[in-house]
Amino acid sequence: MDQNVCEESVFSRIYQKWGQALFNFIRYKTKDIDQANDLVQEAFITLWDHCADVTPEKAKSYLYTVANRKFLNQVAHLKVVQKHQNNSTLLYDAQSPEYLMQEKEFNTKLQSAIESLPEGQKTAFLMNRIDQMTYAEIAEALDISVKAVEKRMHLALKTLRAEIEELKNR
Amino acid sequence: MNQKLLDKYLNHEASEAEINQLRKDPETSALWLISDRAKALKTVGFTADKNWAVILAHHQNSQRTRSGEPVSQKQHPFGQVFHLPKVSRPMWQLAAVALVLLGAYFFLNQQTHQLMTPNGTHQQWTLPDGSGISLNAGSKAGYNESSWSSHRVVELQGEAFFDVIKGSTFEVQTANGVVTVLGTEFNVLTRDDDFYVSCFEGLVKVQTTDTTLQLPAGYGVRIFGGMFNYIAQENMGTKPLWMIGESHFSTEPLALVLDEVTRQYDVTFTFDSGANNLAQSAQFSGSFPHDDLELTLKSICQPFGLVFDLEGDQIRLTLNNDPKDP
Repeated sequence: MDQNVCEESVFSRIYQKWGQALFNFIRYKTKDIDQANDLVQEAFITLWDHCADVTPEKAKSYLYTVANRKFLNQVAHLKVVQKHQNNSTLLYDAQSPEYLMQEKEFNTKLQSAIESLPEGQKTAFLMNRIDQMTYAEIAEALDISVKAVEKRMHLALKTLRAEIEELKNR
Repeated sequence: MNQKLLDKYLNHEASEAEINQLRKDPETSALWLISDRAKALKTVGFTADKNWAVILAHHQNSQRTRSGEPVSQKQHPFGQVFHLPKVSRPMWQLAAVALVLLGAYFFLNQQTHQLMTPNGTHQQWTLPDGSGISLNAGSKAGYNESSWSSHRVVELQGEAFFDVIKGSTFEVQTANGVVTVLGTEFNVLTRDDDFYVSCFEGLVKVQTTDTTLQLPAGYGVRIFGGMFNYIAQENMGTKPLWMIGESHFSTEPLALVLDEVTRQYDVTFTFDSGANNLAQSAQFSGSFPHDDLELTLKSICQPFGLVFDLEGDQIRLTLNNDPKDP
C-alpha cells in the first residue's frame, strides 16, 4: 500500500481511527479532559509536520510515542491545573449488554478498583478492554514487549479480583 | 490455572466454547467476570470535531508559510483575488515576496475580522486556531485572520471571556492595557476607565502604562478611576457570572450598574435631577439576572428609594419624595 500520510484523505482516516483511542490513552493517566484533548491535537499536528518520515503502518505507534512524551514533559515542568478534580476517568456505557446484565454495586466497585490500579497496569488493562487492542498492539503503542503487556494484564486482574473479593466479604 | 486460555480471551481470539470454559472454571470465573464487565466502561470528553479543526488549521497555516512552494489556490489567503503567473522559481519567490508586501498593506483592513455584540446580546466565536471568545453585550473585538498563526492578537472594547488554546503568545489589546497569555481562560472588562482582568485558568500577564503584573488562576485585578485592586476570588467557578445569566457588582457606582442594565436588556434610562445625582454618587453591591427586567429594576432601585417607570424599552427613574425634584 503506497499511501502518503501527508495527504489529507489518508491523514484524516488515521485521525478517525486513532483519535479517540489516543484521547483515552491520556485520559487513563489524567483527569484533565482539556489536557487530553490538547495532547491529541499536538500529537496529530506533530505527525502531520513529519508526515514524510512516517508510513501509515507506523503512524499509530508514532502518535502514542509523541503523546506520551509530551504528557511526561508537561507533568515534569508545568503545574497542571486540575479543573475536574472530582470526575472519575471512566463511566459505564449504560447501553452495553455487559452493563445491562449487572448488579450496580459490583460495577461501581470494579470501576473504583480499576481507577486505583498503578498506572502501567491500568493503562494496559484499559487499552485492552476499552480500546479493544491486542497484546501485540498494546506492546507496539507503549514500546514494551508482549511479555511485559501479559505481565501487566495478569497483575491487574489479580489485583482487581482481590479488591472485589475483599469488598464482597465485608 | 489456564492462563493461556485467559490470555487468548483477552486477546479477542477465544471461541464461544472457550469462553464458556473460562466462565465455568472456578479458578478463572472471577477473572473472566471482571474482564467481561470492564468492557462496558468508556471515557468521556473527547471533542473529535474541535480537535480536527485545530489540527487542520495548523496544517494549512504551516503550508502557507513554507517558502518557495506555490500554494494551491484554495489555500491561498487572498483566494480568488488574483492568479499568480507561472515563472521560474527564483523569480517566483521574488514576485511572491513583493506581492505579499503590497498585499499586506493593501489588504490589511479587509483582513481584520470584526466581531460585535449589540446591546441585549451575548455571542461566542471560535478564532482560527480553535481558541474561543465570548463577547458580553455592547462589545467589539477585532483580529487579523491571515497573520493569526504567528501573531495571535485581539483588539477589545467592552468585555469578553477568552478560552485560549496553547500555542504562540495570545494578546488582548485594549485602550486600558494589554493582556498576554500562552494558553488559558480569562475574562477582560475594558470600558472607559474601568479595566478588570480575571484569570480562571493558567497564568495571565497584564500590562498598563505604569504597571505589569501576573495573575494566577482565581485572581483578578481591577483598575478603576485610578484605583488599583488586586482581588482573590473564592469560588470563581470556571466561567464569569455574565456568561451564566448574571451581572455582579461589588460596591460600584450606581451609574455603572445602570449602564450594564442598558447593555444587557437594550433599554434606555432617563432621570429626574434627584435620580441623576443619586446615580452619580451612590454605590451598589449585588447582582441582577439577565432574564427578568422587572426584578432587575426592583433590586437596583429599592435600596436607594428610586422609583422606576417602565414603558417598552424606556425606563424613567425618579427619586421618591425628593423635595428638590422640580
